[in-house]
Amino acid sequence: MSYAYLFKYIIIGDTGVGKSCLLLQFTDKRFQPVHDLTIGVEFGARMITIDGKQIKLQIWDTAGQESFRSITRSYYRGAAGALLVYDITRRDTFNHLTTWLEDARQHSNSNMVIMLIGNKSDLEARRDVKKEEGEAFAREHGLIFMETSAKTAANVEEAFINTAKEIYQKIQDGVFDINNEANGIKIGPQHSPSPSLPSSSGGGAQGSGCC
Amino acid sequence: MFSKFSNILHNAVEALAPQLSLKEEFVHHWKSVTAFFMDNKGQKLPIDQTQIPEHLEQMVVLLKEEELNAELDSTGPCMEYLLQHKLLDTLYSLGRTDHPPGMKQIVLQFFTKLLSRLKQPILAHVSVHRAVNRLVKACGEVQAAPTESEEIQFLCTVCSLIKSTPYLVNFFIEVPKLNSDARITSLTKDAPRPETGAGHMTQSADIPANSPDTCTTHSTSPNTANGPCSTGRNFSPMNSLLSLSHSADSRVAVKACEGLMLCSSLPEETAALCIIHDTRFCTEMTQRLIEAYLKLPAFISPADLENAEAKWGLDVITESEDHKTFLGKRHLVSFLSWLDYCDQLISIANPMVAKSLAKSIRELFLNVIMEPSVLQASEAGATLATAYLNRCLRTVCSPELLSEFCFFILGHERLPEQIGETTPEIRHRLIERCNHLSEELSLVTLKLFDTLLQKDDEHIMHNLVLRNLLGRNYYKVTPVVSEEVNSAQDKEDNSKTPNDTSQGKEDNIKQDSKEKPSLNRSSSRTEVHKIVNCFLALLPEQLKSSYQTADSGYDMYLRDAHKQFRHICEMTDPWSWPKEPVVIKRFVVDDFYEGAFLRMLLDKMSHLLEQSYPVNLQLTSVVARLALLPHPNLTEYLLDPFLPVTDGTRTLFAVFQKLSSEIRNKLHAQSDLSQQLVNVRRQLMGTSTNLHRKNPYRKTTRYQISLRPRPKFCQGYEDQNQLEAIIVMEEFCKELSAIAFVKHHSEVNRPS
Ligand SMILES: Nc1nc2c(ncn2[C@@H]2O[C@H](COP(=O)(O)OP(=O)(O)OP(=O)(O)O)[C@@H](O)[C@H]2O)c(=O)[nH]1
Ligand SMILES: [Mg+2]
Repeated sequence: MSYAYLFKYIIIGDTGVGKSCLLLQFTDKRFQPVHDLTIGVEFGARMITIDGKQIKLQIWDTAGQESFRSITRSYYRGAAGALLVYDITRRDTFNHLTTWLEDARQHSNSNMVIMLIGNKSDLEARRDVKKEEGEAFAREHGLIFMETSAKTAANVEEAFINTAKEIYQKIQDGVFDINNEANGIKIGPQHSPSPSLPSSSGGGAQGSGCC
Repeated sequence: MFSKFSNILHNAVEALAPQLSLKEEFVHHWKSVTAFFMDNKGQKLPIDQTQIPEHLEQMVVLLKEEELNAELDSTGPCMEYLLQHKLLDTLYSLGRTDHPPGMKQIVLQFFTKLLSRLKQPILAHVSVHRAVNRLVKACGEVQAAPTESEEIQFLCTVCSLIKSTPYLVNFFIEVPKLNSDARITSLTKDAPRPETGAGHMTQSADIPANSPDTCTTHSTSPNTANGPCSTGRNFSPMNSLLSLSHSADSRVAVKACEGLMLCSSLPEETAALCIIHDTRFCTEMTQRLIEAYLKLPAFISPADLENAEAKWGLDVITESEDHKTFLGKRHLVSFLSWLDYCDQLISIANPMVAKSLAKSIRELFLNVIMEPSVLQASEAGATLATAYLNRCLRTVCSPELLSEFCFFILGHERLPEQIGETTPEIRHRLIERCNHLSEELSLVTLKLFDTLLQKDDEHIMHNLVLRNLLGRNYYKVTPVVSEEVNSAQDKEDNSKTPNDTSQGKEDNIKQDSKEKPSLNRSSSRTEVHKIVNCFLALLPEQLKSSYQTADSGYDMYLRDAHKQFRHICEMTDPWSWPKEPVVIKRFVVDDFYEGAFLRMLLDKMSHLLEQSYPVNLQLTSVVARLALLPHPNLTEYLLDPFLPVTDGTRTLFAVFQKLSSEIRNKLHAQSDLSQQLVNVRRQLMGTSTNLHRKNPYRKTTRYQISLRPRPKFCQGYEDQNQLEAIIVMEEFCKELSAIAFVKHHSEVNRPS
């Protein structure tokens, strides 16, 4: 299917916070109650519409386990957006945010949009991190924030789509250089750049328009 | 936490109508599995028409339940049963025969769940790791097997466990029978304790080749997998991952690559040595790089090459996309992503593995493939190869691989370069080529040096320029008497308005350059203004076209210089460069020679008026990079107009002065020069693709402008060329003076 833009996302955060469930809910509208550790990177995609434009989201779901940490760093580099997830019922996952953020900031391009997500909002009774704390952290570090539930699907659409809106806005503002594919943004087929010229044929080929 | 446990317990109890113990239920499921094989011998029911998957799944559930209920560090009865009755060995054998059809897949899934869901360190048990290792070896045996996804999932689970408890790797490295008997028994008797397991392995005296010293010193040829140090050890996960990394299914291939990263980044020396000497890892990684390189398109526009981006794991390009952009993009992307993968791997790998892979890439790819391509006689071929080399260099960031690239291009030499040196050949030829008749070839070669100067490797700066400046032989020591003249001069200058940049400066320069002595130049604010003014006053006001078309853009240069300088200082900081100019004995020579690279640059600078606009943009970009480097010797040599120099020493400023007088002569001959310059500047700005700020000289647009097609051989082409060169000169003077200002400023503010 054709699209105007393609955005690359990654989902990061401690193991068990619900990264894979968020992706599954967003792409398949399903919930998976058993926790099967993500081993290595998994991948999902979905089309959304912003401002009347089709946008394809390509999403990399990473493994939260410590042993994959150094590998996950490779994936930061080509992403336009990141969902940084913690579990509102486990304070340690919130405490680790600083480390995740440092990692992300250090290895990604500086324009990457980061959405902070407090997941498992359905487990209100077991809440261990207040919503205000999440908001404060986000404010302090310039992130967008949202609480979600991969189980009830609350705010899941919004989390992915608002991130895309932010990226889209940055494109409109000229912050993202869309010709540079390193930013995790690709222009769809209808915006293709100009065709190529053979290069190694010397300057002569270019001089044909001589007066 | 406790509430969670009791919750699950409650559910479990409820589910079991007849009050069976966990173990009884566990055994029941297992018996049902084995019963199938007793009863159904010969029958070939596909696995999903049997109860086997369900029974096995229940066994995992029970084990997990047992674990949740148990005390820490105790083995429950179900687990006890699994270990004692060697269930995993049996399952392995059943999986191996793939009977009933699909059994292998189910067994792989069972092992994966067992290893990933349970928290207990079961892999240390001999009956577990023996069966696991056997199953590992059964992975990747067949190309494009239907079980590929389960295989890779299982392998990566094992690797992830090894990565988090590295001594476990020793269970997966098999030593050949001949000298291994002693070890195997010592290993299999009981699970080694984490702290001693690894040390015990490496110290086994009866395996001489295991000693790290003998191996690292002999690790010469990575192209033979079983090199002099090979002991025929078998690192099974590595081998299985290597074969799965070829999978046509990109998800499987990417995961295999991740698994390889996990294995190669293990801290265990045994594992690293085994990877280097007993697996085809390094050779195979390099081989794939070479294969991808050989598929690269034979024609590609510099802009396409420049803009192409590929990060490993994130960029999968389809053939249809290929046709939408440019032909061969797919191949370019897969080459660049593989190079990026190697680079990423090297940056996180065990240092021994990192070195070895980098060396393999140097020996097999750079020396064998790249060198002849770059040095070939065909201009078109050499241009293309140099462009690819440049693009590779941009991708490479890991210290080990970057270092190999630098040694490949520049050689290892660190002592001063002699006039006429022609080795190493590739360095010599590349510098020569910056003056090649083919403008494309000289452009791409200059571009390569531009990229080099941005890379984080001290050897580059040292080899290209510093080794010939560290003796400070360019500097003329003048009598001490004049020191007083100098301070008098300073006072005089202080009384002037410091921002007065517009007039009467030329006279000052001449005067100053005669009198300025300064051995260890103190950095005063006045001095930097003098330097700034020197550069700004090189062109007469009538020839400065920027004032007529827009503002001079000087602020922009200051901002840019400031940003870049800060960036560069972060890079050079660990190199502990001196703060004041130094004279280092072993770099002192009889007669000053700036080195082939600087000589080429100065020569080209002096031909500014005869060179094309694209060449001049690229050239000034390279010189600006050098000028930004915070080495005091280089700074004074390039940026101090008052530097007293020995006879025969040519400085950048001297070159500028000659250019300046050439241009002044032109002005006398051509009265409408100013107006022509304004016109040409407008033209250049019209073609500029920079949306943010229309300035014909901005760094970000340099390359893009240089690509614009322009009719050659038109009437007045030479003139046009010269006019453009004058504009470049005007802008470059601003850029250099901004750099001088920023550097000086940071020096003043430096805490000493
Ligand atoms: N109640 C509730 N449970 C959730 C929610 N999201 C995830 N879970 C559960 O949390 C566990 C972990 O979810 P995953 O999505 O697999 O976790 P992950 O972040 O992908 O973990 P790794 O892959 O190991 O990094 C699973 O048991 C899920 O069922 C949620 O919103 N609400
Ligand atoms: Mg997951």
